[in-house]
Amino acid sequence: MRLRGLDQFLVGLVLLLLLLGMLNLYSATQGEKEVYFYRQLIWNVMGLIFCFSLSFYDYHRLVKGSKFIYAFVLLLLLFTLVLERGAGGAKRWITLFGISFQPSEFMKPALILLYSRLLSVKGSIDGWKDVLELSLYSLIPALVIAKQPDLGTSAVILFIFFLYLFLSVSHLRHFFLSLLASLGSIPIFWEFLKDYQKRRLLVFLDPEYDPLGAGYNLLQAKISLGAGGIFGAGFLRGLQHRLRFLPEHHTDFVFCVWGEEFGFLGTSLLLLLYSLLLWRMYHIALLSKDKEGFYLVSGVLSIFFLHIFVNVAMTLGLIPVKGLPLPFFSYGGSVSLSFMASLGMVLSVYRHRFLRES
Amino acid sequence: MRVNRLSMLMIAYALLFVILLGRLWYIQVFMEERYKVAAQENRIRIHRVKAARGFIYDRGGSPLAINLPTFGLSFVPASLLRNGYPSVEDFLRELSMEVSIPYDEVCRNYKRRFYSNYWPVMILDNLTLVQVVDLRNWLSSKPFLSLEVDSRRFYPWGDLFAHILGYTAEISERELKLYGNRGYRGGDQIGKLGVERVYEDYLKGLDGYREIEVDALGREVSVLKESPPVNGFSLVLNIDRHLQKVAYDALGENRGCVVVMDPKDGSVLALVSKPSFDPNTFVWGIDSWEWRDLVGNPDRPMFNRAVQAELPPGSLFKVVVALGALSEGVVSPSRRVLCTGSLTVGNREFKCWREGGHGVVDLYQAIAQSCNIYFYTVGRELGVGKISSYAKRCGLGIKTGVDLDSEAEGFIPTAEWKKKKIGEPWYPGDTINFSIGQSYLLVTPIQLASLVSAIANGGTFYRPKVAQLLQDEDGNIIERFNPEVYWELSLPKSVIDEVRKGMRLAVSDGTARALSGEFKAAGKTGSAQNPRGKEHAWFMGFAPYDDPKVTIVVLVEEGGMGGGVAVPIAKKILDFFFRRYGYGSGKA
Repeated sequence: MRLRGLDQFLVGLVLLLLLLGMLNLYSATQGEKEVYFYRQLIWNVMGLIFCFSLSFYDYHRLVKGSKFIYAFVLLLLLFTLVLERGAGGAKRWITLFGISFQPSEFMKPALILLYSRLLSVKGSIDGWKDVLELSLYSLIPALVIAKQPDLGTSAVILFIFFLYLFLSVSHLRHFFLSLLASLGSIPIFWEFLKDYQKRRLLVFLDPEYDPLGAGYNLLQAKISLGAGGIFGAGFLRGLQHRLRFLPEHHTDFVFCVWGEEFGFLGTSLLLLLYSLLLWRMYHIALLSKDKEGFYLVSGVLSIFFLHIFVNVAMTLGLIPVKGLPLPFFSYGGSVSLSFMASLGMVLSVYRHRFLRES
Repeated sequence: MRVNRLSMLMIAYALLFVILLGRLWYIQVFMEERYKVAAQENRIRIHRVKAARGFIYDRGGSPLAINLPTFGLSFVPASLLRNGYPSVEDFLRELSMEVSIPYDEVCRNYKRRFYSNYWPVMILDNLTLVQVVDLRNWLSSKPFLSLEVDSRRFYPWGDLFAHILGYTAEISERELKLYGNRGYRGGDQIGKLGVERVYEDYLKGLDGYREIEVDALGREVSVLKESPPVNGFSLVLNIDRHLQKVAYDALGENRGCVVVMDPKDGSVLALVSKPSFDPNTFVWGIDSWEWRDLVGNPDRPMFNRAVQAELPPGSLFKVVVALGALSEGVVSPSRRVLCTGSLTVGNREFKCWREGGHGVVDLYQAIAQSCNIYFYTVGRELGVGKISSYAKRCGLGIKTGVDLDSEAEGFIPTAEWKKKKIGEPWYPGDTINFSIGQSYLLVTPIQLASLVSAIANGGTFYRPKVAQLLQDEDGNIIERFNPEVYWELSLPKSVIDEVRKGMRLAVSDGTARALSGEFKAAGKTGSAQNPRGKEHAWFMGFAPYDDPKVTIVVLVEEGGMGGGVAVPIAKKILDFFFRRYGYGSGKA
């Protein structure tokens, strides 16, 4: 058994991103929500411990046990449906020992593990029967999460399915036809909705529909970024968020705080760091000697890409969808743990890359 | 293959990142100047155009809740500096002197309604036209203040519909935290009780907006974008305004409640709880002493007795025991029991309400005369476990799910419960008391209304519905709230019929004789022991006996025997009902 230690490049990159994220969160929460900074600090420490522990754990065993992990998370999800409705009518949280967490966030890594297992056993996806079977594993949690209702996370779950379909189908026409079919089924679902439900969905998809909430945020987000200019206002000097123009500046719009304080130089540097992160994971995916490792890393890589892209594109007004959290920057406990766990699995693939499944 | 696919994905990802970078360059470098100006001046404001709250009508289309226009004064905090006020406090002090409202109160409003420096704060609301005219000179010297037309709820019938409608009032900080993401802002009105609260999402509508450019003084220069509000849906209730009035008057000065329902679909035709309160006082501002008066009143006017009161059902429960005894074969209708006026169990003596007893009674007479001895005997044979399970089967101890807020659940005791919670075994005497609806049993009036409706219609529990349908502004029906079955009695028709016969006999020749009349009612009287005073009087019934069109439950707190007080009230209401609707099918 040969172990090749930690991927120091990836670990260094992650630590740097975490540090920048914490600096930014410190600025974003100055003067009103400082408690979020300290809470995030705790989450990040827990996340790092989790990440390193996982990196020592042979991912083959995780992949093998993926069915149990998946079933467990699905059970937790179903449990949230039974719970009383929480704040704002949403029921995404389970509270345990005074700590609330969102099982939906852990569905992402669980599903990645499950698909890695299924696809490495199966080899490739050949017929419609395979496609259908594959889709069920994400449709079920996606529907439960949509019911919560958390349409954003639900969409991420479906994205994971299409990602793996794309990676594994023998004939790409199967992929494109499935994509078309699911897009085509949207109007049918639409017909089943009541008028007020449609209205709510429209606000979700198109913030302009509710300009006092999301539309206002979007306008202020652009002003924040634009006001940052090329060089930025400087650390702790972003006036837009400090004067409370910019709501949600510790979660959805955290990128704007960075953009206002560090300007175009800062934002392009951040995008560069993210690109390096994705490239390094791509490298590890190619290094891995078996299908399990390849599929696992590809999934994590794509989840990271999706979150970064959707969050930034939303703040830039490029896509009209409500935000997903920005990895390492947005405040959030469950989501941070989920990201760090995913990274831990990638590190495990790197460490065990010469170890074939016995 | 899969490696190639991943490489393809990486190329796509890279391209998408390039697009992000391009857009960042556009906003942060190319548009820098424009956004810098926008940030400094924040010239662009979004003004909200509030959606009108939907009206509430009774089944005949008479308005029960409408909106009246009022005036409000708002300003953008950031504009104060440019208008010569060094701080917000300076302005608030001047304002409080000008309108003679205490400075503390103005400050409290400001704090609660502040959202951001660039959002208008409605600092004064509920101004009348006269007040506005008085202020006009002062206003003209303050261009940054804007006069806004707002609207407030008005309930033309005052306290008549208070417990059904509820009221609207300024959103609390807690509610703002909970629902802030649904478009509420500090100072908004929100439904607090009754259907105003239950149907809040439908009544509220969707606010519109105007994105405007303002000058340095905060005056509107141009409209950049506009989107009209979508007004809230109107709610049409099942309540009949006239019937409600009759029920309200029939209760008189008594504390208690009345529920009138249609047994065929669960529509609530009238629902009165007394004493009542005037919901308008909440909408138009309430003094702290007025509030204390309402909340501290020992008669609890805010308490909706029809759905929140939990009381023992007293003799009304004999109907449940009778259903149980017949289904279990403990009695046949013809079985007779001798009532001598008392029954000794162990070393305790349990009395019938009628001194000297009823003599020999069968099931029908036992229901009609409300004979305790009969039900003591039958209840003992049935046993506590069976009685509890039939109580549950009769829809007691479960919420009906009526579309009003804060419904209570009631409570059905069991021997295990008593052992666990009180630490005492279930004594035979407890079963005796349980058989006539005492001991630890608690029910709500609305549960009894559901139960008597089920007896009337052959066993189906329809969810009581106060609201009938939603309409848009043009009167198009958006949604009709169809009858919903939430429980089934699941007993043979013959069993239910025997009990109905007994209830009919109670009216034709029993404790509810005062109700006898043209419309052939059936019913059951009851009185529930009250440790604090006189007994609570109950009545539940339906009419006509052959083809029930209406069911009624009356509760009079500390009213004494049910037959004495509650039945005449039911009579007044049913008299009116049949005068208004006749005996034919269908309602107006």
